[in-house]
Amino acid sequence: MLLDEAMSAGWAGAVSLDPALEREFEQRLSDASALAFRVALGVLRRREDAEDVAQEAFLRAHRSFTSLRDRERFRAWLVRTAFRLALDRLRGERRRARREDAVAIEAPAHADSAEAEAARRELRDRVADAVAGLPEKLRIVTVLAAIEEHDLASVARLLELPEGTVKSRLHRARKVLAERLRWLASDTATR
Amino acid sequence: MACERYRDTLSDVAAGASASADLEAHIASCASCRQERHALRQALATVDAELAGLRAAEPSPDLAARIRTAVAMSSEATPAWRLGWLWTLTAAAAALLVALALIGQRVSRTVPGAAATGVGPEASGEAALATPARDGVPGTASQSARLSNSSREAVSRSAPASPAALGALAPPSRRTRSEPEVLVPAGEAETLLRFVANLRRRTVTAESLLVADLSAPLPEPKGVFIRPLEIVPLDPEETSGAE
Repeated sequence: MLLDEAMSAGWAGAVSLDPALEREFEQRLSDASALAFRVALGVLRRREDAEDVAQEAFLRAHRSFTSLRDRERFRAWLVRTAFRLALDRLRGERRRARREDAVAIEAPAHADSAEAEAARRELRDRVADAVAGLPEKLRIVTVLAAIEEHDLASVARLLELPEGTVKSRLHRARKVLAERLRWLASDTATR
Repeated sequence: MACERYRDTLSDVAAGASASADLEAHIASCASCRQERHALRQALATVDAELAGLRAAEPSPDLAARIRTAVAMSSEATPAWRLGWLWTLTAAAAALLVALALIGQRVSRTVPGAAATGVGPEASGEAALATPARDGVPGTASQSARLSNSSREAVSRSAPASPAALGALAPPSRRTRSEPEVLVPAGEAETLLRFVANLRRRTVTAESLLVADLSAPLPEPKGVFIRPLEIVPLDPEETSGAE
């Protein structure tokens, strides 16, 4: 196919959306940018990285927006994409970075001693490691349950899964986490 | 031991399952299992407290603006990953030029009049993306495959006496209709078309094609020795057909 034929066949304008779609996209952006950010933050734990991932997820969403106009479908797609992008980024980072500079998830500021702060940071790291060690299906349910305040119906909509499946996965995840972190109780009690 | 029997169930209970009457009775009478249940619940409370930060986490106020800008830029310019093929194409073009220069040198050393032997644009790899050039859009995608003026000079420097290379550098006006109009790597047609469309709409600049700096002089190939081709002119009497 020659260029002119192809262009006249409509390949040329594939990148941009028409104004009505752009308006809808803008609504989705206002509606769900924090959601994408939080999902990524649940995996990456660094705000800057989480924002980068949210941005990339929306870029991809924009490219596929004609098939993502429905609000629920868009949010579900966005959550999956942000989660996947965050995991990919984390895997890349692990090859070269360590967590010394990893700032914990939005913890309230404390004016405690350096020792207490170090202990708190270690605790966060242990918890984060335990969550990171979950299988992906359990991990995303855990992160979304935290974001959605354990509203399982909401998590089920985001994952496009039956609520019973979400409940079952969340239970399995919490059981694993409890068993992996049970030592925390005795450890903190001795401090 | 009864405690071992309840160990797994205790985790379930800590995770939210309801305890059976049997288990409750055991816990009431067993300090160890009470302690275990407490430890498991404490662990989950810690997890919940840590993850609760996610709910409150807000992106920076300019995130939405950043996304808007990124989306607008991606709508205007072909994404970088779609231009990835240009690197391949540029490398292939450079390799082709080097090969042509080598062949040209070899031919020019052995046959001074080789320019008349038919080594012309058809065989030269004038990988013309002809259609965009017809519009005269400056810096269209054809630059990526067709040789730019600067690269013609560069090749001329590397193979100054090469008729074949000069044939390759022949101006577009010498191209005939029998030559192929488009030479595009397999599977890359759509990407190319989008790029050219953006060029025409002036939403992407031609300079993006110059990232490989085709104007830079090509390095002399080293470590390659090709034995000169020996061509012995035939005796006219033997080839005249006269018996």
